[in-house]
Amino acid sequence: MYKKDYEKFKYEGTGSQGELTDYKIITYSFDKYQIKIKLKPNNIFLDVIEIKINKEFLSHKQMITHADSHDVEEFYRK
Amino acid sequence: MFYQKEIKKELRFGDILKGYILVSSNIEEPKLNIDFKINVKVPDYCVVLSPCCSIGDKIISLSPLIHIFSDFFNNPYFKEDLIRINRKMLPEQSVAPRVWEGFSPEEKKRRKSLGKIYALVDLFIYKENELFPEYPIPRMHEENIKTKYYMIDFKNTYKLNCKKIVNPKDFPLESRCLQLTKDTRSELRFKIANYYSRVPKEDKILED
Repeated sequence: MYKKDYEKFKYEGTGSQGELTDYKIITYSFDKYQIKIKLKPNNIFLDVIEIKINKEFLSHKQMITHADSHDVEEFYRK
Repeated sequence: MFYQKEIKKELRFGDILKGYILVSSNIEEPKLNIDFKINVKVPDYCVVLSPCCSIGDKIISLSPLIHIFSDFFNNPYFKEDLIRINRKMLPEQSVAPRVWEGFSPEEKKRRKSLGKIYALVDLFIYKENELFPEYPIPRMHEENIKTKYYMIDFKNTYKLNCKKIVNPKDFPLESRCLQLTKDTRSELRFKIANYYSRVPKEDKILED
């Protein structure tokens, strides 16, 4: 019983300010923005928490392109 | 400047060392029974390829300095300055003019769309130095060229155990011959990072 109270206190806080954690927050990348959204456990949209600029401006695809190279090895063999 | 005028005490990524052996094991194919050959060579010079922060614990990654390819001299852009091989370049600079002219218009367009990127991703040229022995570059229908330029091949990297390599400040000082300048070391770092960060075509398709 004591342990159950402790868990309740740990996750729900005290008093009327405590908020039930029946949601999840995920970060979604869109273009150059990073959007934090609040979802129900069954993925139903609840709210937008935060929008910020993604400081990693290169997308994964751009980074791959960045790492390309000129294919010229066959002309320099010896 | 390619090499540091006053060598710093610490052993750094890209430094040139002497006196380290090169051991490579050779097998015909992977087998469960023991059937292998071991080659031991003593290269004149080898290059530290352990990142600066990872030098120590009695282990070091090295790559021997090897002769450059005579084919480099077929490309006037390289012939003028071999160090350009270490840097990003435009597609028409990466091959000899006669090779570029041999590409179809579509191929030229495809290559031009890549812009300024690395070529010969495995290789990094080390500038001539009075310390290095000169050697001839055989040329077809032309007079041989003598050079003191060398290079390393990132594919040719090996690990060596040496109990005297304790950390970058505690290593056999007498074995170190040359040190790259900070800028040259950055160029080596960027090119080797590019070498390891390439993504195979099949993985690119999965990403699309």
